[in-house]
Amino acid sequence: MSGPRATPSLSGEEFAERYRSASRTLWTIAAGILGSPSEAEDVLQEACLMAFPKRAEFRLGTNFTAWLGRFVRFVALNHLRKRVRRGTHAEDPGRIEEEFVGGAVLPVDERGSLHADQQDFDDRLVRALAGLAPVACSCLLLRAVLELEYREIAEVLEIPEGTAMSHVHRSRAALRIWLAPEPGPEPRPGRMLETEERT
Amino acid sequence: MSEKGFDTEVDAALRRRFTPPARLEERAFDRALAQLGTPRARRALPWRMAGALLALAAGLALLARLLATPREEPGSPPPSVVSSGDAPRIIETRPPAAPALAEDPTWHGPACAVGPLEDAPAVAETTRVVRPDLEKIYAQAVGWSQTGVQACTGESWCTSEGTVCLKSEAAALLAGPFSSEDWPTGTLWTGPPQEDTAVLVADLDATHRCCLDLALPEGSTLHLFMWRVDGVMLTEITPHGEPRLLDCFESTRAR
Repeated sequence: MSGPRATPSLSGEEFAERYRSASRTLWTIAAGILGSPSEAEDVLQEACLMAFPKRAEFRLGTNFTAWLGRFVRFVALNHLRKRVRRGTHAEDPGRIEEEFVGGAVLPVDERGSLHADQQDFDDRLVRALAGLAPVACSCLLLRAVLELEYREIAEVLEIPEGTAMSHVHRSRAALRIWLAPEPGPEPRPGRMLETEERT
Repeated sequence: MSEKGFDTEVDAALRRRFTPPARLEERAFDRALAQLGTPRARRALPWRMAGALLALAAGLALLARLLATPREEPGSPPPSVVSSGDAPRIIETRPPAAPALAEDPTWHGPACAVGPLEDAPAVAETTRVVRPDLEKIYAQAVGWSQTGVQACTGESWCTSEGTVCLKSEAAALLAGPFSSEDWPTGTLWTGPPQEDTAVLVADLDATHRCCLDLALPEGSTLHLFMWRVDGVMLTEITPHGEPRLLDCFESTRAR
């Protein structure tokens, strides 16, 4: 009769290798929660430092990206919470409101090509993302930027596939309204914080 | 313009703004390695030597602290300490005791200040992770507040570096600071006095990263909220669904 076997865990090198291969997905999750790419890399590093000492808790055979993604979401939400508490929003909500109510011209022509003021459209889009819930924004970015399947998005964010699909579709619908040339319902700048999440 | 065409433009804009930076894999890897202590990072000899010295100093400090700690009495609760390293190490814990109100030079403020927020004695000991019994700490702190052990209020409480301070207008809401043997590096406050009390623990972020693993047991009625600010991690343990004490502190940089 054999005794209890120790649970195998990742070595430091194995952790680093998996971390490296997952970094793009994790970065995108962080950027989605923050609504901005500027702090995503810092979040990624911080999450890595938090997860590394706990790597023994990772169960081999499970999804490493999803496991580390929990840390990323937690750290990103903390950054977001700190930003909110400090009042250092990326953009002034009043400015967003002013621009949307002002009926900006849609910067695409009839063929769907961007006008010269593409930069403006991109800026408005980024600001509009602040009106999305953090996880919804992450779903949208994982789909649009990394072109992940809904099944993959669901796995890394640990949500049902239908929820991932719903987040993407609703986010797109909201952006269509918020970025439309006609004044529509205003986005609600300022992210809904998931105030309780601990990995 | 069709919805699909618009979505295509949105996707293109998202890719322009949110494509992960080039060489992210390598850069993120290297940045993390620099602090993880894996072989590549160890090539940086000066840092390695500095780390060794820090580890030695922290070890001596911890040893001195352990020697000064009274032995555990029979029947006391088991140590709530876990290890993620190859060689598990157990730290002694003591049953709940009266809060230590010793003067501590690392804090500016009244004489009852406690909490070695300046030093992180366990920072260098990356193999040991302490899991404080948060429910026990909460029960202790609530007991202190209900018995009116003490309350240091009305003064400006700041960390030794002055980066994080207790808001002066919030001082009346809080009782403390206290210390708990179950979280020896943390400094505790309780409040507000008129409602279900919440407990706030301040500790160094570095200590959290290396040596603390916070989690409430399954089925706990308490909630855990955390805020990292300027090198300090504020942790609120509360029966409420939202944090109420985190706002009592502020970063001096935000002033």
